[in-house]
Amino acid sequence: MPTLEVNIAPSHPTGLILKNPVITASGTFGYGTEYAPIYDVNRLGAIAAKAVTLQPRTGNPMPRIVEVPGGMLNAIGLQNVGVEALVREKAPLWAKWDVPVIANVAGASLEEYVTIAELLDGVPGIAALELNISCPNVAHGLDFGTDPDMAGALTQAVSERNSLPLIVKLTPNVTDIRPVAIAVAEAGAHALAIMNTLTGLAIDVEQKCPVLATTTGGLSGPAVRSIALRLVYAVAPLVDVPIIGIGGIGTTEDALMFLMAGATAVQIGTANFYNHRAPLEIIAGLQAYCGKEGLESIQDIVGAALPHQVEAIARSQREQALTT
Amino acid sequence: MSVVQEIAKVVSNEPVTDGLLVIRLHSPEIARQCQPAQFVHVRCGDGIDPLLLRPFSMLTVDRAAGTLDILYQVVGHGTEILKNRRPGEKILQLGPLGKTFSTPPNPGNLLMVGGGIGIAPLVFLAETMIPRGYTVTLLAGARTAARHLPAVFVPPEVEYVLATDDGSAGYHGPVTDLIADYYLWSDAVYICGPWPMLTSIDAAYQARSWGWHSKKPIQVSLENQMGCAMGVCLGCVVTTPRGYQRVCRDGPVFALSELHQEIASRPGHASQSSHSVGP
Repeated sequence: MPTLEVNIAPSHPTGLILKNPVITASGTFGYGTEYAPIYDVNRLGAIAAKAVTLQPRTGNPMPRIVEVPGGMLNAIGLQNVGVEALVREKAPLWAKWDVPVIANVAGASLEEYVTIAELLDGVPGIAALELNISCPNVAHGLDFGTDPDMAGALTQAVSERNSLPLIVKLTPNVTDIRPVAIAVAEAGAHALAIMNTLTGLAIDVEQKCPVLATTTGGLSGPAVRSIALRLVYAVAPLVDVPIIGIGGIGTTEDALMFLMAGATAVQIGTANFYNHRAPLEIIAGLQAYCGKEGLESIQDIVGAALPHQVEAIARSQREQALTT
Repeated sequence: MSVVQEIAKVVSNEPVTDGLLVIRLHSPEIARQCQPAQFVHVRCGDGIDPLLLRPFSMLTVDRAAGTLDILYQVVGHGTEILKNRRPGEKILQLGPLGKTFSTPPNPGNLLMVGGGIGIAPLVFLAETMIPRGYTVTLLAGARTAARHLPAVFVPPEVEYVLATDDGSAGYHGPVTDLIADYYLWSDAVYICGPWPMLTSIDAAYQARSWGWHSKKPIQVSLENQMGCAMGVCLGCVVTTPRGYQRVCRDGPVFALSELHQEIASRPGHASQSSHSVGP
């Protein structure tokens, strides 16, 4: 039977081996417990938990979500239980599960990120950290993820104070994502997650005002898929660490696109809302794909569509044609 | 309790009045489990337009036949597409979701107040409670006679009292005017309807009208626009003294006493129903 197993943190001393490359994305799967009535969450490759902040947060006022063509905007405002409650109430549950749970960390300052990272270090039940760097840096006013120096410094500071595999989730709301990706990878990230949501706006024409209470929100869903795919494809040749593709993935075909673009694993986000079993369907679909294509491992197709790979295939086909 | 993603089959999908429709879905696993005020999250179309599912509570279920009925009106893109689904077609849905009403342990008098299609979970509740010896009065408000659920859909044992905004059927005026006549008689009160109706009920409750009794439970079934319906997207929360609560998972049933702040924050759009789905 072909294997779906992947290591998403090969540069980390222990690595982070997943039984399959399908991860549920932060903010779309709660703390994992919520979906347990629908299916056995242990079948997933991993779960990225709802973002955690130093203090509990009540989140933004309503309305917080709005549907748009092919997607949705959300502005939840990091409503969460806070890191202490996470460690006390959620992590012990996760420790009993047979699926790695990744804590997604958000902060308003470098110090806050570091404090959370320290509090999560060595906590049973937490398999890795995912830094959400799409948050505004209160001291600078800019999002951490929009500046390579800030993003790199943050990554380094966290990696020095936490021994877990470290994933950094990048924001697409930049002119060029590549310098940020390179800075983060060089600063010690074991994997990059590409991408977070794109900032968008919806207006209620009858009321003549923005729909969301916070004006703008993060766009997700099939509408953003081609953008995420482009970013993964652009970054993959430039970094040595695995990339986790995120953005509008809802089917096996979508997941395959990201793997071929150079992602080692994928995250399923908004699809968890409109097809609650999407992650399981994709896992089964990848297994079937491997069988159909005669692959020993799903990893054999990672990066297959990247330029050097495409060239290599063309070259070998040419050589084959010449020898026959 | 488990939540099931089930491919339902449309049995029928017809208007029952000018403006109200009932879709009957063959969905045996969900029909077997679901309770009044619980809801299903329905993919109205065939693909990803609209992307998100739409929440609907059940009007009635036939567990033997494996069917459930949903009362709806066309209020936006999702329900416009739903209206055109034909018998035999398949519809993906998730359910049953949310919590049911709590009911007095011993048979007694249940007062139900429904506005518009908010009547649906109350009819289901009445159907469930009558065989157990409870007595039900259902006060139903609507804009006009044509927007009332025909009495044939309501169990015959129910005292079904109508009110219309235009006086075309029953009492001429808001249904909330009728509550005072029944409140003292009742042992528990159940409410589902549009925000303006809730505003009026909350005002009376806060003013301790109707012969107000602090120990008499008043439960409200709410609905909100929803993303996931599983409690993870946090897009359907309402403000309560316990902080934000998720309509999809902590509700949709809440104590009226918890909803004062939320109701006060709502604009009084007559078109907004606590039961109707999002655009």
